[in-house]
Amino acid sequence: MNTGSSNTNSPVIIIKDVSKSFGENHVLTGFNLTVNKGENVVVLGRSGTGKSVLIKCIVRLVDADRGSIQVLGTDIPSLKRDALDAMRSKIGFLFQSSALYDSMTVGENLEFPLRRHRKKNMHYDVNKLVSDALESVGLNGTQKMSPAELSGGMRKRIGIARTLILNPEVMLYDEPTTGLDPVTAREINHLILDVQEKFNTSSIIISHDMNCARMTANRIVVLIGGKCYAEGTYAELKQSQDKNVKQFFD
Amino acid sequence: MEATTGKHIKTGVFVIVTLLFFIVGLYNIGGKRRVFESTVKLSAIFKNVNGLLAGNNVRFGGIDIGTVSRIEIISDTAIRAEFSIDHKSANYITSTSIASIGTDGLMGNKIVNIAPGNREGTSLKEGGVIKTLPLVELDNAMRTVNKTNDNLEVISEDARIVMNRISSKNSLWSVLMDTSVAGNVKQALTSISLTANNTVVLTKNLNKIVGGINNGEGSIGLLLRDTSFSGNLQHAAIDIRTTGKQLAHISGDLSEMSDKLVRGNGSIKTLIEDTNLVHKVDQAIIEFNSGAANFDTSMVALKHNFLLRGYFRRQEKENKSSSDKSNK
Amino acid sequence: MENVFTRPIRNFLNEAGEISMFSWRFLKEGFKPPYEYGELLRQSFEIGYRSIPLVAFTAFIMGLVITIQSHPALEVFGAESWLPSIVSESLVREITPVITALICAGKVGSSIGAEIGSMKVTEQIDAMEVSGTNPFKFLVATRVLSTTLMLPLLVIFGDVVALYGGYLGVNMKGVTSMHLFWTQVFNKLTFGDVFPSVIKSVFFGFVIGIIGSYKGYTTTNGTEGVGRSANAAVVISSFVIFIVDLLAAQIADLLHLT
Repeated sequence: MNTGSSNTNSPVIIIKDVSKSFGENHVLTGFNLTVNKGENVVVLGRSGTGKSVLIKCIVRLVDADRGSIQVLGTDIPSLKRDALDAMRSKIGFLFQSSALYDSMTVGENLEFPLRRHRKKNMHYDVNKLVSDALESVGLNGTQKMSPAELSGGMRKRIGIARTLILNPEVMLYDEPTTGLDPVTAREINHLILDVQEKFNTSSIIISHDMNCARMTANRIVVLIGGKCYAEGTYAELKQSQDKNVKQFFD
Repeated sequence: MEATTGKHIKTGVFVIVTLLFFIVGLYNIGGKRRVFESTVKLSAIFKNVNGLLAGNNVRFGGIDIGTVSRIEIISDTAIRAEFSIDHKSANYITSTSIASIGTDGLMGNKIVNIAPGNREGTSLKEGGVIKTLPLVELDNAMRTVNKTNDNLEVISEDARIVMNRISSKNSLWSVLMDTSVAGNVKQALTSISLTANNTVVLTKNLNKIVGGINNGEGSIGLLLRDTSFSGNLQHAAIDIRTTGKQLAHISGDLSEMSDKLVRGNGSIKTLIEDTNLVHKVDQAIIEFNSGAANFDTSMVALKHNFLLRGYFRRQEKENKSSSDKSNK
Repeated sequence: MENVFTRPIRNFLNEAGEISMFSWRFLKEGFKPPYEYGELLRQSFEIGYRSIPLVAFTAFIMGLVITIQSHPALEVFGAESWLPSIVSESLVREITPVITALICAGKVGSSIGAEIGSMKVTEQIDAMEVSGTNPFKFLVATRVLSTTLMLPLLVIFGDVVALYGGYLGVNMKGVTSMHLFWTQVFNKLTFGDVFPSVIKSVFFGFVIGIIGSYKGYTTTNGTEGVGRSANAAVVISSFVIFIVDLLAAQIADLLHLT
């Protein structure tokens, strides 16, 4: 079920030979990946294999030890603080735990990145942007609620809305369906596809959930041993005889 | 947004109110320390400042009028203390005013007391030097008091024995028969006149101390604002004075009598006939006894005063140890 | 050479070093623009205003109790009239600053440790980072600044309340007018009593903020780690408060601020 829209083959994210170690634990050992415009790439891997580290390297939450990361033609590791912030505003990041600010209401959560990234020219209607973003995840009207009152699925949606408010060109999803019931997980998967379609984003989706991979991926990359172990569409990989790849599909 | 504004207002109120407390507090403290008033610098030279510190209060007639601003040694026997004095109060300090160092209350800080001088003095100007008096040492004074007290006890005891013998008509015979009596009386008289001299000195001393206490001067007075204590001391002084007078009286009477005795024309007859003399001696002895008793009471009261308790205890211990030694 | 004896020492030195680095980072980054005024005010409200009832309550009781307890000792010397002076001095110099700091270490330090700790483990700090906000400035600098500014104010406030408690304590055993009480208090107090006390409470505030933040910011091991961070924040900051108090007393003594 590949629903990728305009597959124009122009690369948006180019990751080359990226390595990252935490002490003796070599998480990434020369990882390569290219994501094209409007493409959803699912990075599949078992827990603790450094999938999250990979996308954290892309936004420099974690600094890669070696290798180059280019997003929208800009080399990420060499960016200075201000340029990095500007680049980050083009990248939406959905955290595994949604990472909504507990001390703020839903509305304030959405305003937060808006006020931070666009301080200089505040000539637009914040409330309108917030309600639009909430509308696009189907949760308009929850502005005054606090994150603690929301269910896990709603928190994910708000988390997505918070990234969408800045009109990102790239979306990074860290285990979007983990910890959700199958029905809610499916809703989130649909939402990811909606976002891809509506905002024409290129996405990396980190997951170990095969349903998620099947529904959202234009392409799947299997991450084993810190390297890109296998690559292909869901259908292609399903046919694979490699036992390391097969275990994901069993 | 309204909630946030409310919070900001509350925080602001808290900050402002607390800062106001702080400023008012500082102003009050500063006011006491005369930070915000114009002051005149005066100084005084002492032999011993007894632990006076910069910042201690200076009093004039019992009112705080300034603080000690600096203390410095100017020679091996002279310490100069500089005072910042409120300029209004400084007008009352004249060239005849006297500065002394005392203590505020029982165990308080050292203070400098300035006693007003007589009217002939001229008002001191900036940088003027106030006269000082040597300190009256409490210990010395008390030592004299105690010694005299002991003497008085001995004498009164001696005198009592003699007088009892003399005054009891039944035993008059035996008194006269007792050859040692004349010797005793003579001895007693010598001691009495000696003690009387002592008493005069002591009385003067005590008067000075008591006067000092009343004026708030001298270390005792300043250390002890305890009115009951100074009352006791005053009583003691008065008692000693009256006892002294009585002693003079008695010694007069006694010398008359002993003269008669010694000269030999003091026959029994004369002595018995001279009821007037016997009566006089009798009277004197009663007065003397009551005087000594009063003095004892005063001394007991003093001994119970906690400040001097230590001194008396020490004294007792010394006496004991010396008597122990002599016993061995 | 890791053994039972060296490990605690190593851990201690390591922790001390990291807290120093963390403090240095605060001094370096905390005062550079952009300033997070909104968050600073919010934290000042949480830390300052919200602590008023607790500080007032403890300060009042300390004032009252110290007065009641000092009374018998002074009575022996017949020096009850000294009660206001003696009580005010011990309250202002030592008791109110330290008690207030300890109370705030318990209330504020633990909440900072827990709040930042939970933000850390739920990736809120990372989310902030990618939202173009320096979380160190936004979370740590504002909190440390707030505790540093608010604690002296709370101490001054506590002084006033504690002295009022002392006034009531004096009046339980005798009668002293409000006017006489405050006159005696201000007669006794000097700048040398007040300023060291306020200055040391600035450091107490800094200690509470920086250690709470440090513990929160370095939280690991999920929710369990949050609890541990909050706990460690209170324990370590209370401990450091006493050390700072000791140093402050020594320095004040060296400078003859008696």
